[in-house]
Amino acid sequence: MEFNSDIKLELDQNILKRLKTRIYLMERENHKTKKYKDNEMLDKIRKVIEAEVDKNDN
Amino acid sequence: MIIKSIALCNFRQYKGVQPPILFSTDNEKNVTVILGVNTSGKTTLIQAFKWCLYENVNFKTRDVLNIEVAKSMGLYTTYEVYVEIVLIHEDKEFTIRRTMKFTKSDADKIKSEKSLLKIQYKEDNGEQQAVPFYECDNTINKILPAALSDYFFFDGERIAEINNRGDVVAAVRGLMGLDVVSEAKDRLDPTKASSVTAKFSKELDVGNDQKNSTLKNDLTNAQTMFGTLNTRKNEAKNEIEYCERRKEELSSQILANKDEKHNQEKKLSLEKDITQITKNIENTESRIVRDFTAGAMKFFAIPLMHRAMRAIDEAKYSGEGIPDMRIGAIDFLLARQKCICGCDLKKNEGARDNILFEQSLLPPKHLGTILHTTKDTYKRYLKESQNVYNTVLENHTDYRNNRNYLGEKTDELKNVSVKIQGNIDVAKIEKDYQKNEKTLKDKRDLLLKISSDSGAAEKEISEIERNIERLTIVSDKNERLRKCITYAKAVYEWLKVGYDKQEKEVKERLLESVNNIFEKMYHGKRHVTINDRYQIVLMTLLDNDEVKTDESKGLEAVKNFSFISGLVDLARQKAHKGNGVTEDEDIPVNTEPYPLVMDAPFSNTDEIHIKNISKIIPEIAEQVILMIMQKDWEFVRSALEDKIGCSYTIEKINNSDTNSAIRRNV
Repeated sequence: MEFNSDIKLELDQNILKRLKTRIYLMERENHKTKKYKDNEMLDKIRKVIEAEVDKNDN
Repeated sequence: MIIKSIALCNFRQYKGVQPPILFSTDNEKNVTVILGVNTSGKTTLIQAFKWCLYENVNFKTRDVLNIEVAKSMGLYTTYEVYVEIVLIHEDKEFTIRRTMKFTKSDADKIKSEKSLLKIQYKEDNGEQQAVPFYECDNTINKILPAALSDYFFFDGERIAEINNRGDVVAAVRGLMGLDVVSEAKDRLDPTKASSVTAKFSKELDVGNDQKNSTLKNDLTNAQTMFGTLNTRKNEAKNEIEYCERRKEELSSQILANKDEKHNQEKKLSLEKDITQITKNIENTESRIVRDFTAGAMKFFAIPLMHRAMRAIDEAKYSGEGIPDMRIGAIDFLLARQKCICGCDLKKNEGARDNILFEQSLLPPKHLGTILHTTKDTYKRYLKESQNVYNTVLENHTDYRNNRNYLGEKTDELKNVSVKIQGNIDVAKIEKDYQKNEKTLKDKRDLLLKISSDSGAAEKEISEIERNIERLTIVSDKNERLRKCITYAKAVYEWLKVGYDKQEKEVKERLLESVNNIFEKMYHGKRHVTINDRYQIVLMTLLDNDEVKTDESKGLEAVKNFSFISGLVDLARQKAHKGNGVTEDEDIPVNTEPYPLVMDAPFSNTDEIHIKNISKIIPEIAEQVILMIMQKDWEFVRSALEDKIGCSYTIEKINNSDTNSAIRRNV
C-alpha cells in the first residue's frame, strides 16, 4: 500500500540534521568495517529513524 | 594513513629478523627511497605490505617462508614468518603484525599454520591496547580497504593497467567516499522494495482510517443518544419530583379533611348499602312469588287435609295388609304352589292358609290398607304445605326487615348528605391522589427504563471508545510510520542531491587535478579528459578538433601516474578540508591522505618523464615510498633530492637470490 503523500508532516530540522549525520556516519563506519550485512544495516537505519521520531513524540 | 615502519622476519628473501625499515614521515622530506637490483627483494617489500594487511601475495609460489630457512629446518622444528607494520591512521598509531608458523612434519613436508593477525594501537596516554582478534580484519578495512590497496601499493608492471581496471569507477567512488553515500542512498530509496522507506510504507494500515472514521461516527451517535437519554432522565426526575410534591399536597389535603372524608365515606357506604338492600328486597319479592306460586295448592288444601285425616282416624277398620301387595300376586304364588321364601305350599298347608289370610286383608276384600296409605299421603302433603308456609313466612320476614333497613339507611343518607353539602370533595382529591400515584409510578418506571437505556448507551460509548483506542494505537502507529517515511525520504533526498553534487564535483576536480598533473609530467601537446567510467583518455588538438590519440607505453605510464596522483591529490585535499560531519546541507565525504608505495614505477618511461613524475609525486602525496633500480635512481635523484627523508639499499647476501638484507644509507 502506498504512503499517502497528501498528508504533509512538519519536519523538525534538528531531527533531520541528526538523522542525516547518524545515518551517514553509520554507513561510513560500516563501509570500512563491513561489520553489518545489508539487512542488518537496514534494521539499524530503521531503528535510528524510529528512535528519533519516538524521542520527538515523547 | 602514513606508514612509519615495516619489519620482516624470514619473509621471502629476508632471512631472519630484519631491522625495521623506518619510513620518512616528514612533511617536507616525505620520500623514502629503497634502492635495489633486480631480484634483490623490492617487489617482495610491496608484497610484504599486502601480506601483512590482507594476507594477499602475488608470487608465483605462494610460500612466504625464506627458502634457506625452509631447507635448513630440522624435523619437527618450527620457524615463524612475520611482517610488522607500524602506521598512523586518524592520528592514532597502529602496530599490525601478521605471523605464520611453519613446522617440518616429515622429511619432505613443511606444514604451515593459519596466519595470526595481531593489531595494537596506542591510546592518547601512550598505553598500548590490543584490538580483539575478531575486530582485526575490520580494523584493517577501516584503515585501507583491500579493494583500494592496488591503487597505493603497485609496481611498474601494474601501473600500465591501473586506469583500465574494471573497478576504477568503484575505486574512485570509494576513495572519494561516494560509495558510502551511494549505499546509504540505496538503503533509503523509496522506489526499492527492500529499502527502509519502502518497508515503512508497507507497514502502513491505510484501511484503519476508514474504520476509525466509522467508529467516530458511531461514537458521536451514541453520545448524542446518551445526551438525549440524560435529558429525558432529568425530565423524568423533575416530573417525579413534581408528582411527589403533588402527592404530599394531596395527602395534606386529605389529612386536613379527615372528618369530611369520614362523612363522605359514610355517605358512599350508605349509598352502597341502600343499593344492596334494594337489590335484596327485589330478590326476596321474586322468591316469595316463586315459592307461593309453586306451593299454593298444597297451602290452601291444608284445612281440607286435616278434616280428611280426622275422618280416617274416626273410621272403624282392623288389620293391616301387606302394603302395596295385590291379590293377583298371591294368586300367582298359590297357583305355582311355592312361596317367595321357597316353602312348598302344596305340602305345607299351614303356610298356604297363612297366605290365604294375608290375601283376605287386601282390597277389595279389606279397606284398612287403602285408608292407611291415604293417611300417609295426607301427612306428607301437610308437611310440604307447612314448608311452603314457612318459606313464604321467612321471605316475608326478610322482606319486611329489608324494607325497614332501607328506610333507616335512606334517612341516614339524607342526614349525611345534608352535612357534606357544599364542602371540599375529598373523594375527588383522593381520585387525584390515586391518579397522581399512578403517574408517579409510571414516571418511576420510565426513569428506570431511561436509566437502563442510558447505562446501555454509556456501555456502548465505552466499548466504541475502547475500539477507537485500539484503532488509535494503529493510527498512532500509522502516524509514526508516516513520520518515519517522511524523515527517511528527506534523508534520501539529501543523500541523492548530495551524491549527484559530489560526483559531479569529484569528476570536475579530478579532471582538473589530473590535467594539471599531466601537464606538469608530460612535455608534449596532449591533454586528458575523463569519461563516465573515470577512464583517462588522451586527446590532442588537430586542426582545431580534439582527437583521441594512440598511447605509447611510456605515455600510458605518465597518464596513469597522472590519474593516481590526481586521485591522491583529491583525497588529500578533501582530507585536509576535514571529514567531520558539520555541514548541514553538504554530505561530508570521507577521505584519508594515502601514501604511494611504488616498485620500479618508471619502467617504459623516458628520462624527462621520470624527472617530471619524480618531482610532482612528492608534492601531491602525503608520503612516497619508492623502490627503484639503481639505473633509474640516477634520473630520479636530482628531482627528488630535496624530498628524500630516508634512503635504503637492499643487498643480496653473498649475491644470493634467497637472502637479502636492507641497509640504511647514511
